[in-house]
This record gives sequence, structure tokens and C-alpha cells, in this order.
Amino acid sequence: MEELNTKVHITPEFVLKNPVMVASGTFGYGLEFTEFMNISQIGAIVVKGLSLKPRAGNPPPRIIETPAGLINAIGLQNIGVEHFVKDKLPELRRLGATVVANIFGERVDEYREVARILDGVEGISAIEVNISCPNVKKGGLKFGQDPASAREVVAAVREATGLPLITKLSPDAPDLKAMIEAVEEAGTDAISLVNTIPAMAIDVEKRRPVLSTVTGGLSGPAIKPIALRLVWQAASVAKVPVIGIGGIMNGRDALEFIIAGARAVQVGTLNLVEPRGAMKVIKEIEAYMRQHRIENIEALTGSLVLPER
Amino acid sequence: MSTMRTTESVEVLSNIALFPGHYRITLGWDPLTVKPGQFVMLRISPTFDPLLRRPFGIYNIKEGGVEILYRVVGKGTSLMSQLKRGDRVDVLGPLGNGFELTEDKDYLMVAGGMGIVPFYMVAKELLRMGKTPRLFFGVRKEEELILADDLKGLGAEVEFTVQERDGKVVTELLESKDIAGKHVLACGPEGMLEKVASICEAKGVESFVSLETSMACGMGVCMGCSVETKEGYRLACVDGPVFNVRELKWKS
Ligand SMILES: Cc1cc2nc3c(=O)[nH]c(=O)nc-3n(C[C@H](O)[C@H](O)[C@H](O)COP(=O)(O)OP(=O)(O)OC[C@H]3O[C@@H](n4cnc5c(N)ncnc54)[C@H](O)[C@@H]3O)c2cc1C
Ligand SMILES: Cc1cc2nc3c(=O)[nH]c(=O)nc-3n(C[C@H](O)[C@H](O)[C@H](O)COP(=O)(O)O)c2cc1C
Ligand code: FES
Repeated sequence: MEELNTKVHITPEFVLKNPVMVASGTFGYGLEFTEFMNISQIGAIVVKGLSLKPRAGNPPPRIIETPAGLINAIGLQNIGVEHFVKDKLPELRRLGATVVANIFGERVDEYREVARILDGVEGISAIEVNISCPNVKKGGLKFGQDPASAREVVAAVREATGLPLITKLSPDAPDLKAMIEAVEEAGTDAISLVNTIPAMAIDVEKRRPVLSTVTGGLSGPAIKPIALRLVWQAASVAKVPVIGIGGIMNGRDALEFIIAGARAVQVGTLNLVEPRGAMKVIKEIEAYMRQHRIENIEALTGSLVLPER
Repeated sequence: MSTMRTTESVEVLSNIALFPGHYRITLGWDPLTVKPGQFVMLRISPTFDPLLRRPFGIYNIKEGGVEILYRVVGKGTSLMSQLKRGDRVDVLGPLGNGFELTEDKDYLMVAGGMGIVPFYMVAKELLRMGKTPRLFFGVRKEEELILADDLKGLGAEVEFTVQERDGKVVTELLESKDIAGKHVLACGPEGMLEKVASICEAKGVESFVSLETSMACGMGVCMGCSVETKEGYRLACVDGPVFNVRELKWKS
């Protein structure tokens, strides 16, 4: 058989060597993993969400394990975009990593400003815009729940940078189709979904919420079937490439998302449990391609066979 | 970074019940260097149930193996108690900062229950420095006292409190002693550590505590294990688990 072609095109210029990316917040700034693997072999590293200024995050407790899942309320703790560019990016570049900067803000200007700082910076391949953040100007409703605010954010980021843009959608948008249309019109090059699903846990002895913020975001195998359904629906309406995220723990999980219509995938919680997990997912996808004589991974995207009716 | 972290599948060499609900597991793992007070994240089952690794202090390193003492409290530890010789687990470590021990200081260890775990290696290190290890050990039930047998075997001076027998807790022992000039190292339940901190502060001695928080990754990635310090949040898994109490902000 010919050599496997695992390359995927997110845009004509933004091409990944394989479809497996690592999800924001689960791979630090990438450098934490250099003892375990050659990080240049990962499709792309989406770094921890970056804001204009450093953020301290939420009070503890911030995490709780639930059946097949993890609820987190980290609160987007990060070192800030400038510190990242100065202290982390040079080493990521030296190691040959493909870096995607995940960004967020509490106001539209903040998103715009972070994107402007990243624009033209050597070593950043794309920006992923996390719109799951509460919009402080609109009384805390998440940008990702309201197509008009999401459009505003993406348009502002689009204006600030020529970098490829991925918009990361929340699973709790009331109208997914309207949301996708809004961010496409605003100029996004791709969409990724899902972010964590709002969730909670209660300590029945104390009758108190386990997490300091009462609710948090659920990730891990527990969310995979829901994420898969959303990715499938998104892929059926989106004009731009879709990146599938949610509970991917092995190659077969990743393949489900790809067959459902995802051009690429992101693995998240897996990295926390298995530092080398993303590499394993890549190897398992390759093994499947060999076994099924699929030379080009992009031939699998959206290859789902639906029952005839 | 202090030491080289690895993740590898290792063999269970033995897994022995010490007394009800408490076990000693020996893993065929040979880390390069381990500081007293460091820990590992264990993946007990090859499935993702439970999903996350579980943190355990490194109790002892001996020829060809690493020992861990653990108490069964939930799903992960109960699965762990069923492991047999020849089974495999995945170990990630060594992790965390561990206790900083120097020749010029005089140490006193204070442990509550399973909080004794880091002190076997601390005691060995103190002996290597030519010091006599001293431990105040508090337990709830008399049966837990055997947890200190290894330390006594090394020649450590151990004083006990048994809550169910004489109604005393280890912090009362600490309170009653002259500990001037000591550096207190403590590990145990959070309430006990907070008490140790306030006693040491009142007596004007330095103290260092090993904290337990819930952890997902153990390597500074998820930021789930934050601890409130006077300079903001720090991570228990990489900045700790050992903290100087002067840095900490306690809940109450
Ligand atoms: C740095 C560090 C070192 C540790 N060293 C040891 C050790 O040497 N020996 C040992 O027996 N245990 C140790 N622990 C605690 C151990 O990690 C937990 O007991 C274990 O993760 C519980 O897993 P489980 O699946 O059995 O319980 P779960 O099903 O996860 O939890 C069962 C119950 O135990 C409680 N619990 C879970 N984790 C903790 C915790 N960290 N502290 C207090 N209560 C908890 C839960 O809230 C729940 O009520 C350490 C923890 C940390 C953070
Ligand atoms: C601890 C943790 C931190 C996260 N931080 C971010 C973040 O900063 N920005 C973001 O867009 N998503 C963040 N996420 C969401 C993940 O990127 C991913 O969308 C989600 O976890 C679902 O994928 P998974 O089930 O594979 O983990 C975080 C998730 C976890 C578990
Ligand atoms: S447990 Fe993940 S950062 Fe400490």
C-alpha cells in the first residue's frame, strides 16, 4: 500500500500533519509534555486559553470526578497573552510544535486586543476563539449562547488578524444552526465543538455544591455521545471545516467524529490521564487506515452511511 | 524541574493487607531519584473507570521496588486492593516538590493516620545525615499504630496519641512540648495541619505541611489542584504538595 496520507486541510494554508490536535486547557502550554513525547508530532497543540491580562482563576475546589467524567471550574487561569508569547512560544517554536492560540475575553475589545497581539507573531499557526466566556457587558450571558454576540466577537477578531480562525462553540447554544451561520458570516475559517457541558455535583453530607463556583464544565467519556451528535449536526449545516471535540479517549472515538463529518479532532481529558494519549490516538487512526486500505484520511471525513428511508 | 518524570506500566510485586482497609503495595518500578515527600499518580485500571489517576505518596524505595501505603476510601483504592502479584498498573512520577532537608536544621515530624507516609523516607534521610528522627504520631484507632513500626525499626523516636483510647490528638502532644528551634514537618488531615500551623506560629517555629487536594493530572497542566497562598493560587502538584505554612491562607 502507498504511504498513508494523514494530512488534513483546515484552510488551504493551515494544514495539519495529522487530524489529532490537543484541546485547550488539557495540554498546558505544551512544554509540560516534552519529557513524554516529541510534541512536534501532534497535529496541533491548542494552548491553555489566553486573555489580555493574567488571570488567577477560581477558588478551590476546582475539579471533581463523576462517572466517566470530570467537572472543572478552573476559571481560565492563565499567564496572559504577552507572557505566553515572550516566555513559552520561543521554546515551542524551537521544538517544531504546531501551535494554535486559544483566546477569550469578557468584552469584545478584549478578544480584539488579544488577537491583535498575536497577529503576525512567528510560531502561531491559528487562533481558536473560545466564545464560552460570559459576556460581562450583556449581564453574564455567554457569547456562545447568543448568535449576535458571537458574530460581534468573531468579526472583531477577524478584523484584528489575518491568522486562520477557529471558533470554538459551546454545547449549550440554543440554536446551533443560527450560531454556525453567524460565525461563518463573521469570517471564521473553521468551527470546533464542543467545549465542556455545564454540570454540577453536590456533597450530600454537607448539602453543599462540591465546586466553589457551584457549577462547572463536564468533559471526558461521559460527554462523547452528546458531542458526537452535535458535531454530526454541525457538519451537516456548516460550510467551513468542523473540528470534533468531546470525550475522545482512543483512535476509534476519534474515527467516529471524523466519520460524522469532522475534518480534525481534539483530545482533551485524555491528556490529563495519559500524557502520551494523543500519540496513541494518532497511531490507532493509522492502524485503522492500513486495515481498511484508506490512503487519505480526508476521504473518511463525513463518510457516514445513513440508513435509507 | 527537580526530577525526571516518567509514565510506565509496572508490575505489582506484592499487595498486602496491613489491617482492615489498609494495604502496602510494592511496584516493580525503579525511578532515578526520589525526594522524601514526592508522590506518584497511579492508573489502577487500564479502562477509563475510574477516569483519573489517583495520587499516592511514595512510602519507600528499596531494591527493585517502590512501596506505597494506602487506605481504601472509594472506587479507585478498592480496585487497588484487589490487585495481585503480576498485575500491572501505570505509574506517573515522581511528582511534586517533596521536603527540603538540610544538615544544619533540627526536624520534628508530626503525622496523623496515613499522613505517616512521607516520613519513612524523611527518617531515612535524617539518619543518613546523622540525626535521630523524631515523630509525633496521632491515630484514631489503636490498630493504626503498626503504621509506625517501620520508623521505629529504623531507630526513630516515636510518641503516640490514640484518640479512641486516651481521647487525645497529636496536636495536643505538639502543644505540650518544648519545640523551640525545631523545623516541624507535618502531614495528615487538613484540620490537623491547620492546627499544627497555628501552634507552630504561636511557638515561633518554622513549619512545613504536605497538603492533599483533588488532582486530575498531577503535573501542572489542568490547574485543578490550586491552593490559596498569600501570593495567589499555587498548584499542589508542582509547587507542593509541601508548603511553608507562612505562605498559606487557611480556609477558616
Ligand atoms: C499528594 C497526595 C498524596 C496522597 N498520598 C496518599 C497515600 O500515600 N496513601 C493514601 O491512602 N492516600 C493518599 N492520598 C489520598 C488518595 O489519593 C485518595 O484517597 C484516593 O485518590 C481516593 O481514590 P478512590 O477512588 O478510592 O476514592 P474516590 O471514590 O475518589 O473518593 C472516595 C471518598 O474519598 C474522598 N477523597 C478522595 N480523594 C481524597 C483526598 N485526596 N483526600 C481526602 N479525601 C479524599 C472523596 O471526597 C470521597 O468522599 C494522597 C493524596 C494526595 C493529593
Ligand atoms: C481542566 C480543563 C481546562 C480547560 N480549559 C479550557 C480553556 O482554557 N479554553 C477552552 O476553550 N477550553 C477549555 N477546556 C475544554 C476542552 O478544551 C475541551 O473542549 C473539553 O474538555 C471537551 O473535550 P474532552 O472531553 O476530550 O476533554 C478545558 C477542559 C478541561 C478538562
Ligand atoms: S493536578 Fe493538574 S495541575 Fe495539579
